[in-house]
Amino acid sequence: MISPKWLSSTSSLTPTPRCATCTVGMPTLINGSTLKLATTLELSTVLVVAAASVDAPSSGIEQMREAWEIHRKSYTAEFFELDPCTKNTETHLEEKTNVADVVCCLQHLQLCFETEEKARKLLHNVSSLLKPGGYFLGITPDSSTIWAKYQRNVEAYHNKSSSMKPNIVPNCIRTENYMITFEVEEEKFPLFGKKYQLKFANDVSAETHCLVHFPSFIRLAREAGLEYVEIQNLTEFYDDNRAQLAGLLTHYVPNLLDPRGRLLPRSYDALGLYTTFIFQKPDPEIAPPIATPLLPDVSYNLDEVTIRPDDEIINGHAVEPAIGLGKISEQKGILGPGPADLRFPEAL
Amino acid sequence: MSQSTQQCLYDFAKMALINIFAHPYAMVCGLYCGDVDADKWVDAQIGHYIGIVNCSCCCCCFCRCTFV
Repeated sequence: MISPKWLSSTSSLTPTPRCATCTVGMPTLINGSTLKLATTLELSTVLVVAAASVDAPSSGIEQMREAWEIHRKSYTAEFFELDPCTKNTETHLEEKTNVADVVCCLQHLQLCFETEEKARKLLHNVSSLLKPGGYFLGITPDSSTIWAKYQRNVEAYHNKSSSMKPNIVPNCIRTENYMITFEVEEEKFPLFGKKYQLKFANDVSAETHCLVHFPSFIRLAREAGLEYVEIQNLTEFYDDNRAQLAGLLTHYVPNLLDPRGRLLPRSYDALGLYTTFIFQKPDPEIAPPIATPLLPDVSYNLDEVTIRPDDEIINGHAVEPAIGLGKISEQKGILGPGPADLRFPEAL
Repeated sequence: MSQSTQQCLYDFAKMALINIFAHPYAMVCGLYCGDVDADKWVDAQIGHYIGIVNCSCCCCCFCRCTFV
């Protein structure tokens, strides 16, 4: 059965005999599926074209036209089965290194923080996939926020220890919207492997995550050649981009907005459990300019400076110095030579 | 709050990031991608999408899609 969200195709779109049996709303497989399985290499490749659902055409020609329209407007895609925190992408995706403008991890980053080795492997894979100047970005639970909530819970317990049962430290954060339970009580935030369960109201079961120690995240990213840009809680992200995101909010969460178009407090709190992260692979060709420009070393050779003689000889004839360079005895002040009786007979 | 509500918030955040960083003809690589995530890039007019999936995660593409 074909997924309603994908069409398999080759560069040449050709209708298949199945056109006649196409039903309303069901997309049709185009000839030339490139599905290949390579289980021994833990690698599978499928070349597909992303497209919206295709309505049933009235004829084969119409179908071909619509398929072309979809193909023309969509992007090409290919998929690889690979665990990016345990396998080396350079080995499995040789042609895909240093080509991506954006590498995104919109979920499951926290899985890689079970061990340092896994986190390191993931970040090296990301770095090898990105081209210089490209961005690594995504969304993950905000460990700082979650840990802070937990600490406040523990602190509240200690402050009210007399009113609670002895030796029972609460290991969970409970609100209307969700419940977060830590498996092991620890006072310090370990760098890797700190597990907790997150369960939202009305969920059947909880999800198990690892806290992401952001300083370690930044350190390992830098070691892999990725520079930190920003890690921002989604509530701050929302506040900073509210005007720009207003349309999206209305589209995705219309029932969670107040009359003024802002998120309701409960939704705001839930949004705050997550954070965005952004890193960039530096581009050496657009390195920032040096703060202090280097000037060329200028040296002056005073020996080469020639002092003009009092008398110059041009073409064999002696030339009187220019006006203003006369003998001292004949120099006049700006007010003239002055009275004769006040002049000395000779220069001093 | 229901799961669907939380999922809506999550989807909103994803779309917000995509709208900010995507540009026409970009080559995008998605880690731990799901088919739903790949769909989100359609409006961004990117050039090519590389999806890296891990079948041990229940929401990955290969666990949901069937190819003939």
